[in-house]
Amino acid sequence: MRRNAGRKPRRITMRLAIGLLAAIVSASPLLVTHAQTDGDAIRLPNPDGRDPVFNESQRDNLIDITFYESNDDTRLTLSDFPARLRLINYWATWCVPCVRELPSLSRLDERYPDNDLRIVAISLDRTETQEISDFLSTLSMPPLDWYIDRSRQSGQAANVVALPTSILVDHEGQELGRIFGSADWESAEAIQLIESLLGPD
Amino acid sequence: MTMRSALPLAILASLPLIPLHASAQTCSCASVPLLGSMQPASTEGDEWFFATTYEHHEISDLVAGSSTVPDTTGRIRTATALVMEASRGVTDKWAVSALLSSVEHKRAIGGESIRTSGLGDAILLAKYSPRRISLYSDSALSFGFGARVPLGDDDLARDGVFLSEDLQSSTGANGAIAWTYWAKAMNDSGSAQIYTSASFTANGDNSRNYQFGDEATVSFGGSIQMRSPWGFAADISYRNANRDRRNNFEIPNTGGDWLDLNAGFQYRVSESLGIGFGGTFPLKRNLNDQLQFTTSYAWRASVSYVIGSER
Repeated sequence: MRRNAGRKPRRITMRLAIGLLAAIVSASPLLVTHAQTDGDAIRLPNPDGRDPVFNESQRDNLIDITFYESNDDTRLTLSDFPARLRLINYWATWCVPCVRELPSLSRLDERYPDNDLRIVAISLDRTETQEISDFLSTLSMPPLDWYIDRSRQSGQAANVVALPTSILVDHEGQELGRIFGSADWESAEAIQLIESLLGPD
Repeated sequence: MTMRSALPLAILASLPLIPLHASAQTCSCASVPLLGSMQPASTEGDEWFFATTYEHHEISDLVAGSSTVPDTTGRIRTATALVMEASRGVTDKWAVSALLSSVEHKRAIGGESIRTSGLGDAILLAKYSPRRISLYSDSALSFGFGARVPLGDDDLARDGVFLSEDLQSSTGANGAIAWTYWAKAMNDSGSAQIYTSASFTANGDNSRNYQFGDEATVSFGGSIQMRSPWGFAADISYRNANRDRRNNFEIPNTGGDWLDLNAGFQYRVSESLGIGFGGTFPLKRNLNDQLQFTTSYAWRASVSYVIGSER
């Protein structure tokens, strides 16, 4: 096999295409490096190996986000949960990592008095309350108060873009930071994070 | 802040299901149908998507109109391709994709055989996605437009004679592409979806005034991501190709209509890395003129990787 002699000069479009492809491919290692460099970020352990990072404050005030009591659809806001520190956890029964972290979250809830840390677990499920309760009863964990936001308005207001998302909020409702992904809330790193955000008594 | 997929995983980087389409090849089609190897979902802002797909097309069915003609010659006609895709989400709504291919053709009958290989065509596509499936939206809509660019050779020759277009690694011609994709979540988590996509490719002439027929494709199917790492997808695709032309004269025994079943699965090794396998099987064909060789089946294996910014 040989190539035909006297070929036409390559087209400009060909050069542009090669240039673009080369740019995309050559830029990718830089991006990988950038994505993996997170300096002094606080990582919470995750049994799956992908430890989620605590991303510090977006400084939104979330005191007025609206959700509902799971039993009787009473309208609630974050101001109904006074505490030095609040941990809002968005979850759903269909979200595998959410379900995986719920037991450690409920044990974290047991560890602190309500006026120090309140855990506000908000389900974004659209199914019936009884169905969700039945599902939770199959999990081996201490009871955890949970709330519901079928319209997902509070999730939208809080900029929740994937599940699970945990948002740490101070006593005024100001966001301190958030964690995307499933975390082990009983881990030393998680306790250390909570203690540092609680500050001295 | 973008809205992200509500798949049942803590997704920091969403990994789409493998592409399914590997459109049937006419006997005159030089390159593997690249557009079918492209991921349908649009890459989100600050994300990179990389995929490498190995495709094998068995082009041994001899068809007259819609009837398969027995061929006892024992001939071999295959096309294999390695297709690499890089996609970058530029903003929440805009992404650019580039595909690069390397193609090998084999033909053998009796004691005669020929094998050609080389760089194939590339596709550059800009995608606009006004809607994505997320916690707050149960449907996705994307539009794409771009160009097919011939990077490889279209003038391979043997004994001083040019080989036919279906043995060249590249079409040698520029093309314009329009593409659209719509999907709807069928459950709360978005793990089950139905989708439809359509594309149109207008082909130009190559250096020997050969023009592959313009092509239109439409597909409809569904996908499901299990709670386990397994995901499955299947669709039916219809493709219409015009007759090829040389010096503006139609080439007989080219073009027609194809109806194919595409099915595949994907295994998520991690939240970012997936491997997939799929196949294409003809359901019905109605090809122009007396006789054409066309795809008996095709299969593909792919590895895909997403790099997303942690939020």
